[in-house]
Amino acid sequence: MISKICLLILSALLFQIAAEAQARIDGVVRSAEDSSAIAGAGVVLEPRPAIKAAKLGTIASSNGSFSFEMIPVGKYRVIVSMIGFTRYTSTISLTDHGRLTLNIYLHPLPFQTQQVVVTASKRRQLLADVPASISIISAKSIERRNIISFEDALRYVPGVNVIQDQVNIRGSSGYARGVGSRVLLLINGIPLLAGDTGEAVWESIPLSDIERVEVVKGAGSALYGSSALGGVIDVITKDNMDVTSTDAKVYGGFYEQPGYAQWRWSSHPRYFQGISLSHVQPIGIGNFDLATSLSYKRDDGYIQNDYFRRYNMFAESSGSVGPNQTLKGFGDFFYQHSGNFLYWQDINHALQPASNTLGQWVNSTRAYIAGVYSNIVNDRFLLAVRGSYYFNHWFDNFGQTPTGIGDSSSSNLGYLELQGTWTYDPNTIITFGGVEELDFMNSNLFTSKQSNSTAFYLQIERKFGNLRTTLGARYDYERIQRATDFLQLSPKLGLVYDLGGEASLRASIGSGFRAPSLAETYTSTETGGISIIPNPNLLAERSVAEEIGARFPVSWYGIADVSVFQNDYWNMIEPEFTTGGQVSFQNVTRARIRGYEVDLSSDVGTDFLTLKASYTYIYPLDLTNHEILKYRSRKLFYASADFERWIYRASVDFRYISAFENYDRQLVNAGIVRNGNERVPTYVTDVRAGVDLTAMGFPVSIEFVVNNAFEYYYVEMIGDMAPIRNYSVVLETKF
Amino acid sequence: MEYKVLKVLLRTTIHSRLFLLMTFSLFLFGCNHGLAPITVQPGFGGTVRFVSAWPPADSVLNLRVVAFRDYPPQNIITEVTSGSALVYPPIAASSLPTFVDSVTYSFTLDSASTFKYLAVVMQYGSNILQDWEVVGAYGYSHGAGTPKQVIVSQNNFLNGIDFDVDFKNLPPNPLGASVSDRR
Repeated sequence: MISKICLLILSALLFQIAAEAQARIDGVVRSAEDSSAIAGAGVVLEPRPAIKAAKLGTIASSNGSFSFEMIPVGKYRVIVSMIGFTRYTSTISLTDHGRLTLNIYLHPLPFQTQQVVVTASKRRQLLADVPASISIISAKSIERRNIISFEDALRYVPGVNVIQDQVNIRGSSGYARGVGSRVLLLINGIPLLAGDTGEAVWESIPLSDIERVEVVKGAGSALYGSSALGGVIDVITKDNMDVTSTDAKVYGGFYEQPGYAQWRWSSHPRYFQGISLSHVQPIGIGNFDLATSLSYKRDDGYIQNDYFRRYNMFAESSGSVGPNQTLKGFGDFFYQHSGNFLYWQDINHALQPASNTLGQWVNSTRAYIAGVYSNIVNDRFLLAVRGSYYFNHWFDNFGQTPTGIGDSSSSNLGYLELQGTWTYDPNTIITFGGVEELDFMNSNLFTSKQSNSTAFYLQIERKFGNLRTTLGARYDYERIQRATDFLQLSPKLGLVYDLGGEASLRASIGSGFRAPSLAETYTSTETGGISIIPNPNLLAERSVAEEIGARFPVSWYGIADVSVFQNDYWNMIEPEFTTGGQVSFQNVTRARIRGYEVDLSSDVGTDFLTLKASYTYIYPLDLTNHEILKYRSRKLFYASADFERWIYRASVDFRYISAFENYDRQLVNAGIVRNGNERVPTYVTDVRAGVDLTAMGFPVSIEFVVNNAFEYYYVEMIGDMAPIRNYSVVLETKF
Repeated sequence: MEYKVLKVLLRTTIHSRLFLLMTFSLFLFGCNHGLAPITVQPGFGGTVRFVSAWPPADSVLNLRVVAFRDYPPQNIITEVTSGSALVYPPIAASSLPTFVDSVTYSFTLDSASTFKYLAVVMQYGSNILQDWEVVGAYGYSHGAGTPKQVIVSQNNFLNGIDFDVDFKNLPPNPLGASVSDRR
């Protein structure tokens, strides 16, 4: 008995000694590239020598922080891993009651195959695991090009052709002025298309707050529903950075006077300038921070009456709301006053509008507020909730009414999505969710209508050895007030085969659709003797996209991506004459676009030079009228060279786009667009050079930009001259 | 640093040199300046004179000058949208002024062209495809005459292509139904 009591006392003493011999580790995981926090990084402590079952693990929170408490003293190996970054390993020694702070920097992996994307499967995954073509635009790339409007950031993305403000992914969109979009725009995974016209309002994207942009090519309705006909563009904003910083940027420049005297309509060069201020700091509530940015941009326009004044305010706050729970809220307010320009007078007055649009203007107000909540319920299940409210209002002075106000439109769009991601076993991931969307529109052009849509989606990813398969489908149901209900099932199948050594093969087939916008369905107006009437029987456009591709390293320190694709379209919507001599939007065109794409990028074995080039060929055939589809260019070639060494940086971008072969000949034949057949291939070179004095202790950078350096005159759209040569200076400071 | 840059350039393979050469060649195309104004815009124009009283206002919805490449014309809208005919003012623009004594017009062309039939046409009903009537034609006077063609050569603008519109003596209407038939 005594021996038992002694043993108990000894055990208690030993336990107490062991309990007292404890230490604590606090740390934060950051990117070595820009010191931003890396949320979700896995941190493992392995006792040295290894003791089975004594391994400790945790996940870095939204601000990259992690901690281990009451750890027995001794030696440990720390292993930190995150997809898209190199693995970190080091050995540490913990002493009794010691407290150790670790600042861990992970280096991003160099090539695109190791980059992380979130759009293709609504979850984080390596680019190499995605069965579709994806291009990524980094925040640095946007910053370096002094992008003024977001769509300009897309001009050098392989396979993307921007026609004014309309984005074509592999020829998907063509050009339909302000009505509908065949490419879905998302911000942090939430759709951002106007509730009335269904168009993407690129100007309300906060350029200074972008982390990266993912461009997924090919039909994407199996996860995203309507409008993902030609592809999806997802703007990812910056996450909680756990730092306090302020960034101020000013730029100013001018368009050179055109080279031909006939085109000079202003006695002085036309100016453009802007200022933006961004500030981020912790707000003292948990680990939440608040990032705000304000910007003002003004462009007098190189074309008469094609000016704008633009105000933008963006705010975002993110942080942890519990163990493994994060919340991100963001919103934007945008106001713009702009002149209206449709077509030139004629080729001899290429920078002046037809007299009937002179003096016309449009005022637009756009605002959205959105939130993303995510909860790592356990190590196998992640729950995400996304919601947004998007308000749009615009009015113009086109109608010549006594009040000076012409047409106007307002829309209110609400969006709610619930998503689950379940890791069934190490080789199987199931993603599922539901979406509800409500849209209220009030317009003198499109009448007052409301619609609501409901959708459910399911996707199963399963790995068999080196083969990764993705099978999914989405079911959409849309009800428009006093119109036909609309149903759509969008399936997809994807395969990726890992060849090893960063090389992979992929194949996919997926479907897409675009429900007609309320504007296309209900426009009712009369102009110039033409009556435009509603068509409540308008059907959705549908597409099926097939692709085979490969990613592989190339000999000069680069990576190549090659793909062959075919996209079929049914019921494409075009304005047509009715038998009664009026015009309405109708489902008329069956089309097929075939093509291939080669994309190369290389650092040529250096840390100061990056070369990129891509070539896309498409054969866009209108199978209904047996002609080439309108406003589709068959050949796109983009090349870029970026140099960055110590304080110096310079870059050159070049783009070649073959002339579009088909266009709205009726507009030209009817004399609405004089000399509308005047078009040439595009050969444009943009050049930048500057210095960044941060390395010398002065957080200031200055850059000189010349866009369209060779003063090449071309059109992207009939009767509308693209930007002529312009010069600007960009000054930026961070403190 | 220069040495490192040079080393990189030397290290590039034949493929990368070929790529740079191709890019530079395309680059040079940018130096040709692309689009340019046209020195003399070909075209024609003149005056439309209204020599008699106008019909009732409810049958004068729209007035245009149309130049048809072929004769006889079939349908104004389909021929205009297919490029077989040109219209002034353009379709989306407002009508020529009505209830006036005369009005001028002009057509600007992209290239040399021949038009076999020029007419002043009036829309009298709501159907934009059907409800048109010829009220004046080039080569006709007070309802009598034959169609006269107009040939415009490159770098040439023809003036004096005038019409007399006499609502009491309309020329033949090759477009089919007319306001008078409807009445």
